[in-house]
Amino acid sequence: MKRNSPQEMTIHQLVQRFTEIALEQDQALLRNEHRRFNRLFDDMEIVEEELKAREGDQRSALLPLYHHDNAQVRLKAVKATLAVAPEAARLMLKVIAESRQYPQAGEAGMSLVNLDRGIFKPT
Amino acid sequence: MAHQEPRERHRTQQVVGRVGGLDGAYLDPPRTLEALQEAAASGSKAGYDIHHIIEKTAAEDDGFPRSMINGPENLVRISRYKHWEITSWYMTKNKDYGGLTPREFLRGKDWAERTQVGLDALTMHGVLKR
Repeated sequence: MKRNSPQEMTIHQLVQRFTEIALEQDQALLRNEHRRFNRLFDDMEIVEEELKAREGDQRSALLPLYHHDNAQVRLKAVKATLAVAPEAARLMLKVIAESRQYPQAGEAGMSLVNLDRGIFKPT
Repeated sequence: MAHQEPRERHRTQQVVGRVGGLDGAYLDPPRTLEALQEAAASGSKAGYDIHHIIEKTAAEDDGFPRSMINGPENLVRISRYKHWEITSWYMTKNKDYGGLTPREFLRGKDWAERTQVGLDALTMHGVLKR
């Protein structure tokens, strides 16, 4: 089935697509499929850019994913919303880092370090 | 056995399959740098790998001497699965680094910066106590 381009998707569909990509990323990580993960990373960037381009910066539509069952979905939603909800996102990064649910806890911890050092500058 | 969510059960099965049994390696509590370095110096052990704090191949590619790369200060012994998790983190694209992998981000960086990232990665993946 042909998938709509991001430009043709509703915000709801973009959030759904973001979630699907994160779940696929989780599988790629579990199987050590780095090339697949990196392709999925690029796919997710396209979805985020589309949400950002929508009027009012609709990346805030990802905020409900903070409560998703899957840790990879939560982590990616948090990192994607650092620019639009910095305090809430940072708090959630800390929660994930302290969850000991790896590898997401490891990435969340490193993101906190990188934010503090000014290496990671969400835009 | 305690109740596990499906995803956790999957991960446990992976650990069992990959490491050859839940012999405690993956569940080790964080240890000091000295303890991890001493363990590396004492040799190999089932379920564990010798891990380079500064990635070996990337450091070789950037011209660092092998005496530094394989020196005792750069070697720690950690759970094999943790070793894979950290290596995986180095190899996957990351928003923190503008979409580069950490390995790509560190290309051309000095020893001190690589050490800082290497130690942070060990800490944040629950291996190193600081």
